[in-house]
Amino acid sequence: MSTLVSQPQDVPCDASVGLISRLLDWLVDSAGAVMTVAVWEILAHFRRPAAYVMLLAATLIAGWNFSLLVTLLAQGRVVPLRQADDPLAQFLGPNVFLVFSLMLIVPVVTMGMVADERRRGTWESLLTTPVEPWQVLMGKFAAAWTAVVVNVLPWICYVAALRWWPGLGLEFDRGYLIGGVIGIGTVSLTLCGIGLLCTSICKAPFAASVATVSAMIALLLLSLAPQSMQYWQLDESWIAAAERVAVWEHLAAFSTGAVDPRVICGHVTFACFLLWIACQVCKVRD
Amino acid sequence: MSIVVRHLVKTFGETRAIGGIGFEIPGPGVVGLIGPNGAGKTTTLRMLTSFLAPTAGTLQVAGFDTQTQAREVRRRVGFLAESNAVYPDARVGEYLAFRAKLKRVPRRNRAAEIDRCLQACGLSGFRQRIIGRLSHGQRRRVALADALLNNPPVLILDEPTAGLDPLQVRQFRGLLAEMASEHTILLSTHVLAEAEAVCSRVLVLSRGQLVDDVQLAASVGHRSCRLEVAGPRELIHAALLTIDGILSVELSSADGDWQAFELLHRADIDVRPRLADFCMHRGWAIRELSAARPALEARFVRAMFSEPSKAA
Repeated sequence: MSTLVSQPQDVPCDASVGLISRLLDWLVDSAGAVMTVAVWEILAHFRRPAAYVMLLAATLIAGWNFSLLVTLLAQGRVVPLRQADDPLAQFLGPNVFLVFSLMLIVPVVTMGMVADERRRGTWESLLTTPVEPWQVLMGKFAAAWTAVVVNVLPWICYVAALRWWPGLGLEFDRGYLIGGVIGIGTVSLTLCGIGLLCTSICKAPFAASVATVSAMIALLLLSLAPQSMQYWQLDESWIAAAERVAVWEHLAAFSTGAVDPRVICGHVTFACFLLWIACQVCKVRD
Repeated sequence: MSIVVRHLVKTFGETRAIGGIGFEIPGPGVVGLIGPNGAGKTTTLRMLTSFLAPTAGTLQVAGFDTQTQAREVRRRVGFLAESNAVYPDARVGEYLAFRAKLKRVPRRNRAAEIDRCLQACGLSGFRQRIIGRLSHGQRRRVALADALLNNPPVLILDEPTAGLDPLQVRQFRGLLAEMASEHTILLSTHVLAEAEAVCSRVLVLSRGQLVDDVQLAASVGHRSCRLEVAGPRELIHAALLTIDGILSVELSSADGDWQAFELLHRADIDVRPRLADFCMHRGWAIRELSAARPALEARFVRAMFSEPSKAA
């Protein structure tokens, strides 16, 4: 037996408005919490002298790298064998100096984000305020990504200066610059996700940094998989699948100005997945 | 009810940290949680803040369940952790502003709220100081100021006076006394004198069990002493109650003719000379007449060596 109760016509409308209103409130509240944590983390990063030492080191490495680029350009070696071999494209793409710097910057920025908070006891104090662990991790992730991009800024500034410096003004396709910046930003999402996962798992910041470097090396080694598969004459579909996870190739493609939204979505999704795992790890460990 | 704990169990792997405790704190006041190391005090407090999930049982704080309504609980709880959980690189003002944002203190009230908490903790001139350069006691006060932000109805303080100098302890007690009328304060401590000084009620934990629940307000202004005397038990018991200032007489042990009594008496009267005269006039030999340890200490020691009581 069921009882039928007549509902006024406007009830579903009110209910949906209420639901939307609650959803909006939740979104605003969550965004506020994430932003608060992110701003605090960015300020905390730049409160430490190590942040400026790292920025100085990045500037010096970028400067050295830039001097090599200028030398190559002066020698007239601008006609590449393939697009990604173009020294200009390489500068903001598959560049050993840049990738090596990223592998130093990411662990230094992320290693203490959770492991150090746990060691000091501030993690407990943070999670006894009305914020969710995922909001804290998201805020820390945003801060880590911002700090990494700030440390890569010298490379971008050098190329921008090459293009727009008064009197120098080397004419080249601005797609190199835009694509390169998007590429670095995109790949940094995954690298920061790895860093945050490692700091969530490890007890000590140093262990987290070692784990982050190891995971990043493993990720970069995956970039060699497509060539190896071609050598072993594996199926094309397998090679295509391996190319999708080849970070080095992603950087190469972006730096030529070829911005593939699928790659961006892939990195965003993978970073979200890493954050989700980090969140689960935090829940289990706490 | 401000805090309701029922059948609370917490295990860490094979270790049973909390073994089915339960208590209720109906409203404003200061309640102490005392017990030896490893008794489960910090674990209980962490579960009350919803930082730790219980293995079994329920906890309600300010009417909200710590598991299903954790966010609401955290909005209403100010927590002071055992360690000085503050960021050493930050300035006091910056840190409290960050915490105020996390605690959703409205932007227009934020500065005033931070000022209020700084003032309450005696840190008015410390806003621009770097936390890492403060003394241990000052850092503790910064953490306390953080717990007070947004004026939460429930305060959970884990060893709040650890590392404070005697003057700061005194100030802190004064602060607790001020807040006790409007806030429910649950604090853990090892210092029995502190519990006696500030708490109206004390919960004694031992090995994850609630072994005693002491209402201290009732014993304020009272002292106890111990008398061991030879004579007829019933007659002595009845006679002692007739002495001015003695409130209760309890037989604690008997050894042949010798009877040991615990006597509760008014704090403003030293009844021992009267007791000595009284017994000598009746020809009852005295083997011991001494002031007993403070009531809480005696109960604490007794509770530690007894089985878990019905309080659990």
